[in-house]
Amino acid sequence: MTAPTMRVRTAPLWLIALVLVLGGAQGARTVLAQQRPAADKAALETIRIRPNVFVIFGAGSNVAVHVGEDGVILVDSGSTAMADKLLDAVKAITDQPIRIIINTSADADHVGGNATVARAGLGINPDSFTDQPQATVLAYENVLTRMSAPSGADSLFPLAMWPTETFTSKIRSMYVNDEAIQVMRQPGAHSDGDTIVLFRRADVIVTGDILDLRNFPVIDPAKGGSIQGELEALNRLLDLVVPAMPLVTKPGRTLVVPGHGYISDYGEVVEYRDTVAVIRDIIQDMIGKGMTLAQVKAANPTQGYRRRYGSDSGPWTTDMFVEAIYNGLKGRAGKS
Amino acid sequence: MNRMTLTRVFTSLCALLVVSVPASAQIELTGSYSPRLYEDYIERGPGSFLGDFTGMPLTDEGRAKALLYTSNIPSMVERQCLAQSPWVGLYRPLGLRIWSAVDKNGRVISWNLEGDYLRDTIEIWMDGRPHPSPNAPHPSAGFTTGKWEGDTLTARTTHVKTAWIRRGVGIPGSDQSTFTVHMTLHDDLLTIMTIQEDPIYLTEPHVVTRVWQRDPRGSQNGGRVICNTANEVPRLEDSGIVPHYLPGQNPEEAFMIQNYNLPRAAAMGYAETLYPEYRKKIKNVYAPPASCDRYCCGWIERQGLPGAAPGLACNDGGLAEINPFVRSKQSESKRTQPAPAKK
Repeated sequence: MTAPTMRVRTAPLWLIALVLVLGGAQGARTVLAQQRPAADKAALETIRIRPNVFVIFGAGSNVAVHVGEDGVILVDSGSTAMADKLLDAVKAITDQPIRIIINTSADADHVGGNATVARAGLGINPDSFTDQPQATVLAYENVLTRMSAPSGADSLFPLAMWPTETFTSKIRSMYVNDEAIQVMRQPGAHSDGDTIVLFRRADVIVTGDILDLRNFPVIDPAKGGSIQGELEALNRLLDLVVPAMPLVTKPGRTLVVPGHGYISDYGEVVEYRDTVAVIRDIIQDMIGKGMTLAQVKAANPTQGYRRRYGSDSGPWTTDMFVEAIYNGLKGRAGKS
Repeated sequence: MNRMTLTRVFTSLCALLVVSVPASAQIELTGSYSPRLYEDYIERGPGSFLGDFTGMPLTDEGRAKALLYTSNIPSMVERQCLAQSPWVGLYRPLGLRIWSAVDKNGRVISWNLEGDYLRDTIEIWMDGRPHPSPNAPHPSAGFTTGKWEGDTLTARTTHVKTAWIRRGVGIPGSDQSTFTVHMTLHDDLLTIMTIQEDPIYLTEPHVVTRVWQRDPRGSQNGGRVICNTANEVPRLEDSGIVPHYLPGQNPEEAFMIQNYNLPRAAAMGYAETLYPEYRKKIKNVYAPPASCDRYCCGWIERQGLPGAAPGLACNDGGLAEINPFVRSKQSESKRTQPAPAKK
């Protein structure tokens, strides 16, 4: 009877030893594995960039979310197709009501969620003439002009998606969520309705498509965009973005949320501005030599930057970018 | 099996398993290191010539961007204080300080390589954390994780900023670059190898290896993290002007070809020219320049020893006359080296 007793008493000792020694390392690996975020490709991604500022990726354009005592301020509303998921992503951040949506342009991937997302919110100045409260949709006036149409004509976007409040001044300022917010018009850059949004206390700037880290900037002359306006907007942005300086290795700096692409700072804006300026100069020189648009395209004036920002297919190709600059510079030369 | 035997077996097994756990295989890297500057002294010391892209596997895009570069670009107010590549230290003549951060249980969470001028401190995370999302910010130092492979600390850096690989000559690196880094300590010599891959500007991995020596007084970097801008080029201040050459107009493009008789492929950073086979290929067609005033014989030249390039007389532009170390080495070599045979 002694032996069985010993087995009973010693077998757990062996097991415990093995579990402790072998399982220790394995356990650590398991814990570390559990710290990795689960890959859910269907879900949008939310990154917190300041204690009360988040960015939601994958909804069409980047969507910035500012949370505070007055509620939620969104910069852009993504595409129509992703509106419900965007709403879910906002609700996962906070149950505060959405009060304001600021549109940085009239592009479908920036305004597409306006109707769905605004309906789920509550305006900062509730409209007493309606029993259907919704969040305020604020934009520069040209955004409304682009999205709507004269009475009787078909508009590009349905009424429910239009901005409910517009402005025509250079800057529209407000103080919401204990935050100074400035919506700044950028004339004729990516389009004629561009704004950038500065959250002064949070020190975050949301740029819309003036900064698009996926592509060369989409300069759409049909919507009032121009190379000169784009460069002026990027230079203005550089005036506002504060780099990490003089303590260059400290993390403090203005954060920049581009229309598309990763969270940036001064360095990315400088690189992007320089890219656009250098290509503008090269095309200007080619125009000065009397080259036609076809000759300019064939000469590959974007070489050095094309592999990073260019594309030969899709909605915005390198040829379209070159053509926009060429025509913009030729037009300016023709006027002078 | 009695209780005593079981206890012995248990103890032995535990000891065996504990010593075999790979996580404990760490080398102590903490300390200060001095650079061993006999490697690539041109890049780490006086600097390469503009237009010198030798030793680089550049894409056509990389070459084109490098040829748009002028040395006025880093003088732009906007660029003077921008962070440089996290591993640019391998191109610098600076010391290195390394330390570890540990958790409350004494386990190493990260190995840290102190930053120097415009290069942030690199934290090599050892705690298994994942790399951030592609949408996350690209901090000055990028994001680096590491693991021990035997006695070598192997690290991987992602999330870097667009930054020159060699700023002095404008060789570009993109924000899509990743680095694999191997750090190995041999007695008091620390070897760091970086392997940069860049789908935008490099046709193949760019490999750099450097050696530092453990030295209690080796780290000279303290206090070099401050940067203020100044107006270095008047017309660039607050103007939005971006200085650059136009395509085909860089006057330095032919410098290495004209002054060193290098084939264009070698001067302009074509990957083929990195390999020993290329030396064989040009062996019978390459002719050294008739005269050469600088960087002709590498580190050997700096030590005042006879030149290494066959048929080329080393002339360092008078360095030996002003540098007592070189002068003494030259005297020494004249005493110890046989005179070269006259042809």
